[in-house]
Amino acid sequence: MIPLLDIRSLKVSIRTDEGMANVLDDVSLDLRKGRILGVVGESGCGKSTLIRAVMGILPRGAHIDRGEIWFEGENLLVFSEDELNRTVRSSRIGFIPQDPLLALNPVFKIGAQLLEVMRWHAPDDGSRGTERRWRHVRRLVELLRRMQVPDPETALERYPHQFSGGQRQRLLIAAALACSPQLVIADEPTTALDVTTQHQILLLLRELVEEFGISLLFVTHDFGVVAELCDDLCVIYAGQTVEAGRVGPILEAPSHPYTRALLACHPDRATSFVGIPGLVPSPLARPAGCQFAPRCRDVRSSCQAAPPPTGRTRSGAEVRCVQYA
Amino acid sequence: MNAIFRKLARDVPAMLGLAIVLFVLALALFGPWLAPYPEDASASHLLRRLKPPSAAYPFGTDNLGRDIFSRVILGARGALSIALAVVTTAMLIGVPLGLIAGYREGWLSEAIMRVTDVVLAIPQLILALALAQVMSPSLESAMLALSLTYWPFFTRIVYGETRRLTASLFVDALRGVGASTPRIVFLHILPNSLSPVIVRATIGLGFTILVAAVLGFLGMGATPPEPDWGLAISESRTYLPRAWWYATFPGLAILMTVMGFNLLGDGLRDIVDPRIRRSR
Amino acid sequence: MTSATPLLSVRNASVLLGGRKGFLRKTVPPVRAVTDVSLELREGEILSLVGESGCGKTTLGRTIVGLQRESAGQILLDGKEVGGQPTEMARRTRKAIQYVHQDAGAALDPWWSIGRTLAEGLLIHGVRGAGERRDRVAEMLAAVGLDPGWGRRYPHEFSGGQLRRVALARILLLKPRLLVLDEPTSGLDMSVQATVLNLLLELRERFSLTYLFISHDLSVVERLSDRVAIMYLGRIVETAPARRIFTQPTHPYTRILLAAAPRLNGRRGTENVVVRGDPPSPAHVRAGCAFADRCPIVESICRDEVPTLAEITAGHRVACHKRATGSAVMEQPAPAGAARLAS
Repeated sequence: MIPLLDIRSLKVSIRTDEGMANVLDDVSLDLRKGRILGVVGESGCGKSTLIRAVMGILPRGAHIDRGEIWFEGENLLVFSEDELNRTVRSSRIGFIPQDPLLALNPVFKIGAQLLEVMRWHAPDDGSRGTERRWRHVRRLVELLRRMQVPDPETALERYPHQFSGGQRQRLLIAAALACSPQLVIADEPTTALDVTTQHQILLLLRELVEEFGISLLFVTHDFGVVAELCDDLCVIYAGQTVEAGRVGPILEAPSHPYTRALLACHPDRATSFVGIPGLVPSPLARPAGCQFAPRCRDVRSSCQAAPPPTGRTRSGAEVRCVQYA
Repeated sequence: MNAIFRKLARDVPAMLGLAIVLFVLALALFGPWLAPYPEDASASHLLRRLKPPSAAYPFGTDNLGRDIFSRVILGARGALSIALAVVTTAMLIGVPLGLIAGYREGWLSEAIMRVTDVVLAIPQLILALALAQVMSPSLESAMLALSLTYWPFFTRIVYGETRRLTASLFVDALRGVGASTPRIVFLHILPNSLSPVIVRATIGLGFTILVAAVLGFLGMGATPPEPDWGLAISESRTYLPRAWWYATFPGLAILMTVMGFNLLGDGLRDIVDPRIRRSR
Repeated sequence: MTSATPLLSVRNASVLLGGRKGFLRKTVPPVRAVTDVSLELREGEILSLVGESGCGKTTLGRTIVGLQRESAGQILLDGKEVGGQPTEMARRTRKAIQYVHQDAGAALDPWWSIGRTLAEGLLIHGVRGAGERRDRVAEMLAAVGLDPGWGRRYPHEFSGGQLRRVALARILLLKPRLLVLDEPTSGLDMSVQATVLNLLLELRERFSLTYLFISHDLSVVERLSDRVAIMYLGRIVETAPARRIFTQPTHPYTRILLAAAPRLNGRRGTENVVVRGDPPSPAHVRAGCAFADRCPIVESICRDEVPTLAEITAGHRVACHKRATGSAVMEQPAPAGAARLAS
């Protein structure tokens, strides 16, 4: 089965005041239809850049050095800005941002903003003008009801500040789904929410994936959320995928030393609080060889000499470590 | 600090502005030694009146035979001193008012800001003219008038900064550590609010020179025989268009100086603003 | 480690926030951020205040420190009344209590060198000799794991983790006994969080500190705390030793909260409950129990009377009308597709 989203060896550099930053060095992941893939990494690992690369919204000064992003059999990197707008964004790939307050324009009503998305990106069903608009409104109301937003009809007439944080996030999920995309990318959508609200949203996302058959690319730094929500997992360190595979086996028995060290830091597992000694290498000066070698407990002499190969574990996970070659 | 200078150095217009400002500053400081005919600040040589630009008199001579080149150079001192005096006085009035108004909400804060609003609503030049009329026209009255119209700009800026900083985390932490109000306001809030004040002061210097020149032109400021640029343009009116050099060179001096301050101020603002926005 | 008098004692404290009297401006009624809260902190223990947005935990923490003034109730430090004072005075009287901000780096004046910032606290509290201040600053910098020679540097020259240490150093120089920590691990990466918690535990050991730990991260709270107090809409709804709260939560809100918190090793407790709606805003005044609107086991008495905190076993207090009936069953149909969210 061809994966819905297949990122191959993506390398992205960004020009900064201090030089060329190699933000993504070698990221590969694949997401199958109907599954939820968690992308986990700490600050500075490159997760945001990865999402921007898929959406085609990399900052000016960013350069794709190598790699492809295959979506439904097409390489997104060769699409022009116009083609991305017309055929991909919102209509085939939806996006749920991290902070709903920042993503919504405070001076326009919700209805106006959501309808605008649909006007540009909703699939063509043959209707035109007022008829088309009415169909969109009906669809939105239906979606909002599905999202458990109270009073969906009047909700469209309200302004963003009149909703709570959790409700705003539901509105954005509705916006992401409005045009029936195949893939939804969520950038830490529950980080800013309360615990109980987060729980509701995660359950909602799981249901939507099952009901609508969409695939979800979920970026987060919280392993607990990954454990609850995701089917597959991809761990990123210093711009590289270090471990990828199904969630259960990886959480039970992590293979890559970084994954192991990171999971050992989680309060649910830690016997004492230790952290990981050392610092993440700067994208401006990536070391030769394995990026994690300076901090790795199992480091060998060969690790810093040459980049480690990617191998497979018994459970089928891919690991970038010489121990599994 | 170094990062700031490097960033400024990359901004070509700002560097140009800085060069001009430093140049004018040098003229102001060393004018009497740089001007070929320093005595022409007051002396007159009627035999040389209204001569066009030449090797001996690069900018020509005026109606009293004085070398315009020298008078333009000498005029820099007057222009800059007015500017500095006005802006400094305006800051001395405006900054404390902004601090008081911004730190604690209440009737005093409201009162200060409403007065500020009123003074800001009046066109500066007209207010300065009115004040200059009331007090007898002189350089001193012009300076006072300009100071009294310029302080609200500083109050507004400092008010905004003070309000922002009072609500900031580090001021909260200072209260946590037990710092008293005067300590917080003068040792912490004030230094942190200076960046936009410096930007405004730089642009204000240029603006003041312009307005002072206008006042001088209208006879409300400097009086003859001072080598004031505005006054020179005023005096030149009767001799135009024949003695074109009489108005042109003082005019160019004003243009260049004001532009220099504006370019520098813009450059400073570009550094200051994104820094403020970036830091929490 | 136990002494007869608790280090900190809060009795029936209430805090009203906001509120503007009209004259030139619109009258806005104050909000009850904290209502009738009583708690005690014994020397050396870690008490966690847990709750979601609007529960009042931050306000309560700041009121205990003195950055916020309580509208009613008493605050006792070592058995002595220290409440009812404006901020500046309160901070002098309650010098033994210090507040640790969530974002340490932002708590430092960017235009002051860190050495000067650290010395300032000492200067404010009467340490006259510049030499003595310098020595103590250097000593403390070393104690928190930083180079004593870095006093001349400015905040922007340090990393986030180092700034956190600087902020702690500044507070520790004042020789506090109780630290109120406001969400110290929020938004941090896992590995950084572990480092911070490790540092906090070390410092507690070294300087004999007591912690009031404000957080919404239940995983951290479970590992760290001696006792836990759960807050909802300005009141404490349950308080117990940490182990008990996590194994035998009694209040419906506590149980829902525990069930909702994402966990690495499977569900907490045996319940599979999802609560309806969003955490409420304290701006709306209610009669009866604040949780009644969202409670799965609500009854008519709940809407009429506010439940009070009462002990069910030693050290375990719950504010719920149904506490006497033991752990009421709150099961909902096992999740299956769209039926799951139906309440």
